[in-house]
Amino acid sequence: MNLILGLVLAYNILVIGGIGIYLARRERLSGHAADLATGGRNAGLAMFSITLAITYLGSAHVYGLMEMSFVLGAVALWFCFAHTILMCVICLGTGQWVRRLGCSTIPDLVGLMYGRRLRTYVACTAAMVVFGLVTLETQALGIGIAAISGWPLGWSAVLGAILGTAYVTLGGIKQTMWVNLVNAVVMYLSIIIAGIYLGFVLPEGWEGVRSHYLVSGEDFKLSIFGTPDLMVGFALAAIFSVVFSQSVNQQGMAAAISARDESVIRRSLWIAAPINGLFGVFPVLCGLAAATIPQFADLGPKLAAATMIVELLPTWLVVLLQAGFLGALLSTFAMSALAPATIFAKDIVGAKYDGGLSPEAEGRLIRRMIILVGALAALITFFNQPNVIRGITWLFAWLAPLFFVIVAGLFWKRSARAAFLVLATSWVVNCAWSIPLFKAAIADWLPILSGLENAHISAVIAAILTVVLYAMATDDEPALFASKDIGTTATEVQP
Amino acid sequence: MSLAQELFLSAAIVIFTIVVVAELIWKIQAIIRRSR
Repeated sequence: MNLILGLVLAYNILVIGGIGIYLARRERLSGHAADLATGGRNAGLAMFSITLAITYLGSAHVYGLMEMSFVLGAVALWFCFAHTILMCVICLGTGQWVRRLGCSTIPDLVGLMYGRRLRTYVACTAAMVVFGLVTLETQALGIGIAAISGWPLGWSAVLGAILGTAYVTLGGIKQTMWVNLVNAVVMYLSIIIAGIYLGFVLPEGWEGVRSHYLVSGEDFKLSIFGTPDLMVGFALAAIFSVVFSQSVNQQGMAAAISARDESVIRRSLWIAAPINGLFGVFPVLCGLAAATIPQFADLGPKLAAATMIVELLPTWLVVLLQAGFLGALLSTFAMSALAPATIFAKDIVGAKYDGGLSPEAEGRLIRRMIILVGALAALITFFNQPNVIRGITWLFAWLAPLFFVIVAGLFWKRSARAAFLVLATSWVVNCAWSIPLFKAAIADWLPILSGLENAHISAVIAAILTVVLYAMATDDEPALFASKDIGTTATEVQP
Repeated sequence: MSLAQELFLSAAIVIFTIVVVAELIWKIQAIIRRSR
């Protein structure tokens, strides 16, 4: 086996295995086993902040940004800034609300507000969306392994899915949090060293990269603000899709649910947001640099930067860097695979039984579902590898309407009929906007809409419909946080 | 463009974003609180 791949795998096995053994021993001594999906709800500030930051540092931030900056330039960094806004919304809003209500999943929260029927619809859609994210995480794991080993991307993705599935099946969220803490340190240390080191080993240094874009007339690629078209078509779309959908996405909420209390979530803002927001600088620079060196640029946007890192940096640094990257990807894969499995066990199967499934039966079902999710993700990624960031932005558009009905139901009023109409209409329009012929016909009729992506359309339609339909609703009940004090616990205000 | 320049600019935008968005969320929460 390739030396670098062997060392990277050895690092991950050591960290994951070591932490797994330590946690198992601690649980045996205390006689209390943490829940696979909530981790016992006692995560402290450091653990929670790092987990929140790293849960959202997955395929898109590592290889997706390299691919995107190769094509679009430094404007790709807006994907990171969108995540900074997201961290604010989670730490000061959605994360605290979900923790206060004690729900285990987002469909559970929707069910609490709007009833069982809507819970099932949302469970099916959210599970589908997160499964889509799992396939993209699988692809990113594959890109990392392919860049190190030189194996075909399809087979590398299959190996990535096997590793990721084994990781989450063995440990659950508690182990993922501990591994995140170790990987965060390794990853940040290695990207800082690698960024400085690259300046010395690039054929003409960073100055050469700059002059390449200036000479080729693509100087907009060096600016974070790109061009007005890119700011609307990419930056604004990223902000819409990331903020409105990820702030109510199961992976992030799973982290919030595991926090000790609301103050941990609130205080984590100043740790989680900078850690997450600044990470993208290194992948973006790598993508920009790789596009200027013909031997790597010829490999195409997906593999150019990942291969450049392996070829130009010394072995020890590549091992450190890839170990951290692989750790982050495995952690995001773990949280993503855990999400549809948890939703299936709790909201689709568990919801059919009064009081839900027993903890043992639920744990067994979650484990089986994770294996199924991993196997399907490996199969799909083996045959099809779409653009990671475009895929993620499209998937996020499905969740954006949920943000509006959840906020309305928490603070304004609750109407199951209005919520259903908002979600159903936004999803139908989102489907229609995904069909190029339909999109082109609308753009011919109203050219101003031609630059809009699914994320814009879905969020704008959901926002307008929420205001109009909720205002007109006649079957409404008081909001879940209908008390004067927003800080009042839900159990006190529940009807 | 260098790593330091890009990092510095990104850090500034990230911190600016945190402050502005946090302030905005607190303002909205205060308005909701007052309206009840």
